[in-house]
Formats: sequence, C-alpha cells, structure tokens
Amino acid sequence: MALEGNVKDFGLSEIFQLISLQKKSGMLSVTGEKPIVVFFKNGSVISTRDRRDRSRDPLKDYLLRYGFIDSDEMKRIERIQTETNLDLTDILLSEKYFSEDELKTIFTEQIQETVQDVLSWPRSYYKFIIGTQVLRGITHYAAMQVEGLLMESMRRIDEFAELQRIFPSEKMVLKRQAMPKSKPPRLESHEEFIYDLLEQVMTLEKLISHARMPRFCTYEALKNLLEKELLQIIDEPKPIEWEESTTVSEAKKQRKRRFLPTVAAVFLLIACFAAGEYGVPYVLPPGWSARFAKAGQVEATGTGNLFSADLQELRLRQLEATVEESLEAYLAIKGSYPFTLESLAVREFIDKGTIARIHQNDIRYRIDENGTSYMLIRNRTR
Amino acid sequence: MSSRSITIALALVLMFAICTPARPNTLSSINNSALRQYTEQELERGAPSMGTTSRILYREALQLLERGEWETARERLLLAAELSGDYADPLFTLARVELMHAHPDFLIYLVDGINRLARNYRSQSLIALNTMFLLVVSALGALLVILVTLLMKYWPLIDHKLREGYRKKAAFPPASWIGLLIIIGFLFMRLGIALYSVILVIALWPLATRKEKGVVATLVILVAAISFASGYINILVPAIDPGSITGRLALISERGADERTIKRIREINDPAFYAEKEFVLGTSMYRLNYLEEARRHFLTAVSKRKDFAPAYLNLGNVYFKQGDYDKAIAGYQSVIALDSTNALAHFNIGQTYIKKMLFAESSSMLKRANTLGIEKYRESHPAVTIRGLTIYEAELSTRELWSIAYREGRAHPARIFSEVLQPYLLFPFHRLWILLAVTMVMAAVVGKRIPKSWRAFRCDNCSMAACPECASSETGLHLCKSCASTIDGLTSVKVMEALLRHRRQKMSTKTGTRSAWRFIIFPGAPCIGHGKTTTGMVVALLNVGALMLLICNGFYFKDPQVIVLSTPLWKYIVPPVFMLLSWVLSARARVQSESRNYRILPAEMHIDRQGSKQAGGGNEAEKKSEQLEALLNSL
Ligand SMILES: [Zn+2]
Ligand SMILES: [Zn+2]
Repeated sequence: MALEGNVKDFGLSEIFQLISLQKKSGMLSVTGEKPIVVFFKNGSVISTRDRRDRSRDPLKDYLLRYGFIDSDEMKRIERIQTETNLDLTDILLSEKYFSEDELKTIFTEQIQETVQDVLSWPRSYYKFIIGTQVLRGITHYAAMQVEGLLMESMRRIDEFAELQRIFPSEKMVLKRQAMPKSKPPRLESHEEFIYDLLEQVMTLEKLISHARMPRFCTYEALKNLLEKELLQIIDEPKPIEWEESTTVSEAKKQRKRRFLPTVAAVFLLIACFAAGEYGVPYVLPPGWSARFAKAGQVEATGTGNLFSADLQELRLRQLEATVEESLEAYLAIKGSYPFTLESLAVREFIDKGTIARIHQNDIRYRIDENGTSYMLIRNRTR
Repeated sequence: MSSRSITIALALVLMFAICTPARPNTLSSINNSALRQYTEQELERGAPSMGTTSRILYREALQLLERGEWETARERLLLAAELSGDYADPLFTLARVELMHAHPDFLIYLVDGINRLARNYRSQSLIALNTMFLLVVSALGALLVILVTLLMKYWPLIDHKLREGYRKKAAFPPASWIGLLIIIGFLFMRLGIALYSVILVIALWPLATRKEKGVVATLVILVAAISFASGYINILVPAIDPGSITGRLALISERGADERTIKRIREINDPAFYAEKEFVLGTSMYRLNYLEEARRHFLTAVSKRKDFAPAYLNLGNVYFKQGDYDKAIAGYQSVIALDSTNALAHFNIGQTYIKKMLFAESSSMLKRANTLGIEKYRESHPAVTIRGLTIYEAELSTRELWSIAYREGRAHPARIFSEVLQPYLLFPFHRLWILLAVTMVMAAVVGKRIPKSWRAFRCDNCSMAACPECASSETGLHLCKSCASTIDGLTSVKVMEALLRHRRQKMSTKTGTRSAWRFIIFPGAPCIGHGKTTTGMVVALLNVGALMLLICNGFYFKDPQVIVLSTPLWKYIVPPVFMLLSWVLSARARVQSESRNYRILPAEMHIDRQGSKQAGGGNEAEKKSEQLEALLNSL
C-alpha cells in the first residue's frame, strides 16, 4: 500500500505526523528541488541516506559543507569506499575521524537539516512505501521522534527567514568585538565556538564552511553574538545589479527622453540668471541694485533719489577731510603746504591707498606760489 | 583775497600784542621749531585745543614706540594729551605703555581717555553709529548663518518631499538633482540677503523646533527694530560727514579761526541753522579780534534764537574786550538767567568785577564758578591755560551739537545704513521691518496651513527623512520606508530590535561623518546643527561682529581725521583667535553615541507580540489536528 500526493494538498509535516502516529516503517521519497528519501522505523526517522544512490549521500555533503572534513580527506575516504565497499559511517569510525558519540550528533544534525530542507520546499511530490524490507542494509545511529524533529524544523524555518534579514548576504564580512571586561556575557558552546572562529575577520560564507554545525546554527549563534554586542558587521557588499542590456533603438529612445528635460532645466537656470540680471533690479526701487549703483548712472537718472549718490558724496567728503588733515599736519611740520599730494605719501602723512583714491575720484590739488594756501578741486565733468 | 590776508596778518600782530605770551614750559617742549611755530599760530587764531599738533605728536610717539624708545615716546604722549582736550588716543597709548611697564598709572590714563571719549560729541556719535552698525551687521549675518545652517539641517526633509513629488512626474533629470537645481536657480537670481532670508524663514518655519523658531524670531525682531529706527540713526550721520552743517559748526571747538574754516561756515545756507552759523562766525571774528563784526554776528544770533546762551556769553566777551563792562555783565547775566549753573558766565562776571574793582563780588562769583566746574572747562580747553586768558569763551556744547545733528539728520533724506547695506541687501534697509513683519505673518500662516502629508519628519529609528505618505507607524514608532521594510512581517521583537539597531548604526556612521563636516561652515553653526540653539546664536553673533571688525580693520565708519598708521598686530590676532576658539568650542558640541542597551521599540511590544503569537499558533494547531484525524480514518 502506498500513500502519495502533492505537498500542495497536504503539508508534508502532516504526512510525517501521520506516519509517526501509526508507527509505520518504510521509505518516504520526496521529489522537490531534488529527490530525497527519509527512512522510518516504527514511526521514527532513522536515516535520510539512500544506499541505492551512492553519488548523492546527504551525510557526505553535510560533512564537506560545514568543514568537518576537507575535500582532500574526502577523496581519500572515497577511494577507501570504492576499494572496500564499506559504508561511509563505517570508514569514519574505523579511521577514527569521529567517535561514535560524535558521529551520532552529526548524524542527527544532518537528518534535522535534510528534513528542514524538505519541509521548506513550497511544492513537492511525495510517495510513502510501507514495509520493513526497504530498510534492509540501512545503518543508523539515531532514531528521531517525528514530533521533536518537526517542531525543531518548523522553528528553524521560521527563524531562518528572520536571520536572513540580519545577514542577507553570505558575502558579508564579520568581525568579532572585544569581550567587555566588566560582566562578560555568558556564551553557549555554539556561540563560543563561532566567537573563537571569528578571531580572524572573515566572510559569512567562509565562516559557515568552517563552523562544523548546520547553517542555521551558525546563523543563530551569530545572531546571539550580535544581540550580545560581540559581533560587528563590517561591510555589506552591495548586491550586484544586473543591468539589462539595452538595444540600440532603446538607447536612442532613452537619449531622446533625457534630452528634453535637460534642455528645460538648463533653460530654467538661464531664465533664473536673466531674472537676476534684469528682473530683480527692475522690481527693486530705483537705484537699488548693486549693478546700477555706478556713480555716473545714478546722477544721470536725476530723479532726486539720493541714496547711492549721497553715500558717494559722503565718502568724497571724508576723503577730502583726510587729505586736508594731513596737509595741515604737513604744514605744521614743514612750514608750508607740499607741492604735490604725492609728497604726503612719501612722508607717510597719508597712505598710498588714499592717494590712489584721490586720483580715482579725480580730485585736483592746487597750491599758490607761497605755499601758504591750497585748493582741492573736484573735477565732476568726467 | 590778498586784502583779507593782510587784515588777518594785522589781526595776528594785534593779538600778539594783546595776549600774554604762551606759557613757556608746555610749548617749548615741542622740539620741532616749525611745529612749535604752527602751534603758536593756532593759539593766536584762538584754537581752544591744538588737535593737529596733538595728532602729529601722537604719531611721532607711535614711531618712537616702534623703535622701542618708550621714555621719549611717553613724553610725547603726555604732551599730545595735554595739548588737546578731546583727543583720547594718546591717553590710551599711554595706558598701554604704562601697563606694559607695570605702572599703576595706566588706570588713571585709561579712565581719562574714556572720559574724553565720553564727553566729546564727535566720538560719542562715532561710537554710537558704529555700535549700531556692528549690531545690524552681526544680527543680519547671524540670521543668515543660522538660516543656512537650519536649511542644511532640514534639507533632507525638504528634499524628501521634493523628490517624492517630482518622482511621479518624470524620470529625468533624476529626482536627486531637483533640490540642487532649485537652490542654484535661486542663487542665480541674486535676490539679495533680504529676500533670501525671507524665503528661508518661510521655508524653514514649519520644520524648525520651537527653540530654533525663537532664535530666528529674536534676530528678525532685532533687525526689524533697528530697521524701524533707521530714521533716527540718521541723526548720527553728521558725525562722519565732514561736510555736514554739524561737522562744520563743530570745527569752532577744534581749531583756530583760519580763513578756510570761516569760508566753510559762510557756505552754510540752511536758514534752520542761521543762529548757530552767526554764532560760529561771531566767535571766529572775536578770535581774530574783529570785535565790531563779532558783535554784529552775535546780535543777529540772539535775535534769531532768544535762548541761545553761548551767543550771549560771547557777546559779553566782545563788550568786555571793548571795555564796556556793564554791557558785558548784562550779557553774562542773561546767560545765567537761561542757565543758572553756567560756570563760564560766573567766571567771566567774576573777571569783569575785577576790572570794575569789585573784589568781594568777584571772589564770590569765582568761587561759584569753581563749584560749578570751571576746572573741567580748563582741562578740556588747554589753550586757556597756555595762553592765560582772562575771560573764557563759549562754544557749541556737546548737547548743542547733538541737537543740531538731530535737526540736520531728521531733515536729511538719505539713510546711512540703507545706503551702505544696499549692495548686499538689495532692499531698502529702512523698509526692511515691513518686509520682516510680513514674513513672520506669512511664516506663521504657512506653518499652520501646510497639508499634513507635506510635513516631513525624521524616522524614529534611522533619522532619515520620511513623511506620512511613505512612513509606517505600525509599531508605534514612525519608521521610514526602509526601516519598516526591514522588520516587515517579523514576529520576534528581539530580532526586530537587532535589525533596527543594525540599520540605525549603519545610517549613523554613514551620515555621521558627513554631518560632522557639514556644519563647520561658520562658528556657531555646529551648535545649531546639534540643537544648542541659543549658544549657537550668541557664538554666531559674536563671530560675525569679530569678522566685521577684522575685515574693516576696526570700526566700519572711521573718523576721517585719524591718520591710519600701521595696524597693531593684536587687531589681526585677536579676532581670528576668538573665532578659532568659538569654532573649536562649537565643533565639540556633538551628540553622544547611543548606549549599548538602547532599545527603540516600545516596551509593551516585547510582551504583546509574544502573547499574540502563541494565541495564533494554538488556533492553527487545532485546525491541523482535525485534518489529520480525517486522514487517519481514510487509511
Ligand atoms: Zn528609518
Ligand atoms: Zn515620503
């Protein structure tokens, strides 16, 4: 008698529970992303390793994936395997890679991960073959209760989604943070192992392949370390965005689409500039723009708006006063006024800048023959 | 013209004959013979204090100081201070020299110098004008600095709404350019500080915190108040205008009656100042000993202004010189009738009584003059002592000059601050208060009326910009789109907390380094950027002021009489050091990084979520078990 169907109809977990409740023995093969078999004995899961399909041994993959055994070692084991026709587990034990206890732990963890995988597939096809004969030749080190297995798998599937949000990419670089000196947080053995591994800065990918524990456990330990402020995510490389290759005509169209707004923006900027150049002075009261404040033009308007003209007049008067004061000082020391204003500058009665401003404003200096009186003439007819 | 010079020369000879020769000690310590001669001539022309000589001596002293001959320099400085009654610079330099040599005298000189500054009309109005101007520039500058800082602070929020609004309409140019384009457009328009400030105030008002609004409003009110009063500030303009009526009338107390001065005063043709003009002309004539002409001028002055005390006094002096002592006393008495505390009038009556051999009356009058402070007059008019004058003449007092300046300034159409600030403000400063008032009203209206969906805010977690349209407040926090999506659909509060923290730290390190440099545009800006608004305002105000002093090499409006020598080094050192210090101080104002155990999600969520999760799970399990029963039966 066979039980088969699509996972869409019934959750695979129900099938597991069903087999467990009825304490059936047999083989459940699930075809989803890849084919997988689960062996049940009296309603407990004993293995996921199909003896008939040597090329696809989930235990071997598991050992390689998480860095229990490196690929060179595995090649040696494979050679032994083909020579002796022994089971992988036998070789591992006889070659003393692991003790029996260790292997048992690895074995259960591997089953746990495989089941978790199977359960997370969105759709699959399953078939359950009842009978003890299919179990012949299956080596097993654990008999796992379905109830616990399912609950743990469900928890892991649930939480893994969240963990993947924290660690969205395996390219992330991880760094551990120093243990706070006062009150160091207590670490579980998993966490401690990961923390020790992270003595070197490494990517998540590398960490997983060295962690000797299922991916989920590594993630979980990392999350706990992060919560305990012992972990720092240094660099999160941006996911590479694949730019769609655009055809020539499309590029042309796009260039055309870009052309018009660019012209509009440039035109607007020019309009702003023009507004500043011509519009703003027009709106402001007459004579109020910085650019129209040049002396000649203000007088030319002659509207009685004295603002800028007045300030200029004030500055001229101050300039004249400065010159007169220094002329007076020159007279006081020398006994007569100087012949030219330049001699004031030479004698440091006045600075060179002031002399320059006098010339700029076209102020003439006239002295009478005796040097006892002078005139400052403003030449306004320029 | 030549005949006039001959008469003046004759007058000089006459004066020489009449006046007692100058006290030998003071003038003989001037070692330049030409300068001594010039000073003597000035005294003969009736100069009450020898400003020009004093300034020359002061400059010599400064040159000596540069060479390190401070002993000689000190003598010059003392002489300079003695020869002029209102020139404060030598006293300040003396104070500095004494301080450097650890003499306690420096305090006396300092107080004396301040006294001189305080009683002199020209320095009073110059200081007042410059202080007001410094205040205006500082307030305007600080306002601009604060507004620009606030714009930078709130730019992400403004930009967020701009981008959101724009993104719906077009794909190019990219939405991130739009804000920049708008700013460049505004800058291209060159609207002037006034309009830019207005735009910024209106744009930032809805976003600013209450404290920031307070600071902006304070500065706006300060600027508006000064702008409102700019018509009155106009009365300070004559102080810096040598051609103003006030400036010309003030000449009488600064120099002797020379041809140039008299010509200047004759050129005044504003009938409003006729009495004062006549008085000054009379005084000049009196100094040149044209007594008849002087009398005519004084009589005209008092006929125009019945309460013109100085004119009565100098009229009395004319009669005194003419030997008409009774009329002289009548003149002095009318001064006392107008102002019973006039020391000069009492003193001159006392002197006249001596001429009339009434010694008892004279002595009581002179005593009264002493109590009324004739000594003060002697101090500020060194010529009186040097020449040993019998009677003292009146000039236009500081108060008199202020009232003249007031009348002149009020009649003047120009407004000095408007003119000076015009190229920067591009708006009449004396009308700025109207603009600012309208701005504040508009800002308040805009702040109230702005649609809710336009009110951008910062994400509670990562402080990136968000608005009601794109944010989520499911968790009780206002989270931006990105933050909300990181924790979307999650159940574990701990994980959410960890994810939010991760994002928060990522964003703060990303923006932290940027914002640390972003606000170092001007001292005070970092304080405002980090929420220390009042400190920021004060620092910005002080620094704009310091910068202004540095750029203008002292006050903006300068006394044209002051001949600028090399600028002392401290003027270059003190303001930058001050600015640097405030920069460092304000740059240190940073927000502290968050503590380790900081949790952002509300506390009740930690309990709530777990409860609801269990309840939901229970329901699901029941359903599943029912289906399972059915399957069992079918097998
Ligand atoms: Zn956020
Ligand atoms: Zn938004």
